[in-house]
Amino acid sequence: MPKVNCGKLWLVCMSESFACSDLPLPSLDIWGKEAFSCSPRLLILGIGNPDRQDDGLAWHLINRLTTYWGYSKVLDIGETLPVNEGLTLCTDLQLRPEMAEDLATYTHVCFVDAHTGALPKEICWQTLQAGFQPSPLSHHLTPQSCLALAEALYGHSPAGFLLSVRGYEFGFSRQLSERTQRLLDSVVNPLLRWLTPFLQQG
Amino acid sequence: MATVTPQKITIEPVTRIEGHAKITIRLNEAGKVERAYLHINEFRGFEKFCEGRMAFEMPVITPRICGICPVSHHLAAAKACDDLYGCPPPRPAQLLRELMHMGQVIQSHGMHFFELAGPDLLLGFDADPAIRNVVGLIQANPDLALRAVRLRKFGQEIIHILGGRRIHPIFAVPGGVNKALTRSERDQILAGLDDAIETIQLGLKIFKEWAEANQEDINRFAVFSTGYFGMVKPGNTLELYDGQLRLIDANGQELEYFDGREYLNYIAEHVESWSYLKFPYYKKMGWPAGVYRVGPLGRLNVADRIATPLADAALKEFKALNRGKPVEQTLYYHYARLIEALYAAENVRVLLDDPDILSTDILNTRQEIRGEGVGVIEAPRGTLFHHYWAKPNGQLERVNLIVATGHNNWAMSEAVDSVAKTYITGPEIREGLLNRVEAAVRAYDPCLSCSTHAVGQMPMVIEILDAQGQLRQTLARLHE
Repeated sequence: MPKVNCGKLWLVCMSESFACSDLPLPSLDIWGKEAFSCSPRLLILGIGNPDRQDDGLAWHLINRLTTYWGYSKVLDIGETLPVNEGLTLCTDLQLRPEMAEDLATYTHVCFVDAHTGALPKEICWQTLQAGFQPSPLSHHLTPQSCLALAEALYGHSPAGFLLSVRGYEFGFSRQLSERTQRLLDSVVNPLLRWLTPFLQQG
Repeated sequence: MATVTPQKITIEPVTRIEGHAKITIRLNEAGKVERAYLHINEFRGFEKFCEGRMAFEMPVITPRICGICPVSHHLAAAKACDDLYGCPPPRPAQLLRELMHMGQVIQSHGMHFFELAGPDLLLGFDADPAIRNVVGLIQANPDLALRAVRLRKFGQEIIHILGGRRIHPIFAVPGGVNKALTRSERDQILAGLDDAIETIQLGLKIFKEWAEANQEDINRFAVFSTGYFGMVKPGNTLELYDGQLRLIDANGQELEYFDGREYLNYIAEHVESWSYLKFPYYKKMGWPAGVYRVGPLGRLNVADRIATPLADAALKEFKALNRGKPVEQTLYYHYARLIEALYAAENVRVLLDDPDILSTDILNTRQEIRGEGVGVIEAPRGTLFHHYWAKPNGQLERVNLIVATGHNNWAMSEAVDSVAKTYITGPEIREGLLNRVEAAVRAYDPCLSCSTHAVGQMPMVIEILDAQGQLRQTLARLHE
């Protein structure tokens, strides 16, 4: 089982400075050299259904990143793209328990998702603590629950973050609503800057 | 999350991908349960979305309804297209489709038992909710938890090997499949099979021990009479991929035995104001006398035998529970689910041992469009119908889908009402009692299938009821 500890220090830094804040994204200076000394690996895991309009926000965002980095192929739902040794992109319809095994191999996981009016801000960053959140009637898993499964089953929970963007329309379409499209546009460049330390690896 | 007021309890989980459901329990002045409801706010716009598309696209489009059972929609759509285009698949393609379906059943049933039902059964309905979950289960029995994860992965791997991906497979096409199975892929699946069967048998042992110790609970937890509905092969043999449909009454007497194409002659759908999901019922008996249950309990009640030895032996024990009459206890859905998982795993070996499984004769390219096609499959949760009407060029004019959760809509609601009335008997309402109400729904393993977490985006209706349960006011809104 993978045992990675260095991500925890970084999580503490993030928690203090950027819990659920709007843009700008976390400043780069929190990516301390100490954390990088043990080869951090970040998974960006986009969750949502691209056939249900704004629910697919994460899929659109991840494919914006791949396009920016020169990948010609669209990353389809369920596919994974290792950008380099430190950064991997993945999109999926929803979180599933068996993902815990993969999550446990990373030092950091950034979940990307759409949210509705339950969260007050249009763009929201949260640091996550592993903890199981039961869903009484269904198979729904939260990022926190996935992290808890990774911890319980494989002995390691990566530092977790959630970037969520407000969705407004959820019809049967692959096109984002205008409002959510604008939010996506606004989050791409800051996110790219935020990822720079990982892009410089490998 | 549950909130309690003097006259109404609402359990409203924040669901994401499977749609939205809410339970409302209405208490009377004395604090007794007057009536409990399961409200399902499912929006079935998907059928309209499909109109105008080409029929051959449906095996790719319909799995997008949901990430929970995409394989079932994929295969039901392909079967409907086989019928529509008049192109029955060659036998090897049928075997490969069935193999993929077995993978889906194993992973879905495995996940349900070990991860959703397991915490209630192994840790107790009244256990501290902080530990009554899959993480608590892992801590209590880490070996079992790892086995459960491996079991689900085994099922997913079958889907992945055949379909090239675990979700949204691109595999079944009208007239067959687009990829043959290689010898090494067959051996890869076989390598994990014994472990999968052992895990399911362990699950069965756990359930039986639990049932023995909790017989009283089982016999008062949502026990009620209905008809039962499911697919069988000749000899009333359990079938999950392709067969005839059998409907029996509450005493086990056969009411109907018919081809899936004729379903509209037998099934109608009732509408209630308090749920967006329709309530299918047996037409000839009318509503509500004609309600029936589908899924594992329904299927084992309509089947007389299972084609594989271990599962058949387990079925005999199951049938003995009520001396051959239909088993009515809702909690036995879990038992039936494990027996089906055992059958699916054993059937994987049967399919992989078939000489035709490695054949490359996997596609019938003949097309003779018929204008209408029906595909029926036993999804893990129950019978799934896809019905397409198309123009001569294959463009869809109309689509009708009846999903498993719909068939069980009445039963889930009845189970909620029954459990609430049985267990909530006084003003003090403990969390464990509410958990039992939720467990009544979980037993049916519903999939609400609207594939979005659009809370507030779908029409929302708030009903205000008085102590007598009379509707006093309805508030409706479309957006937050």
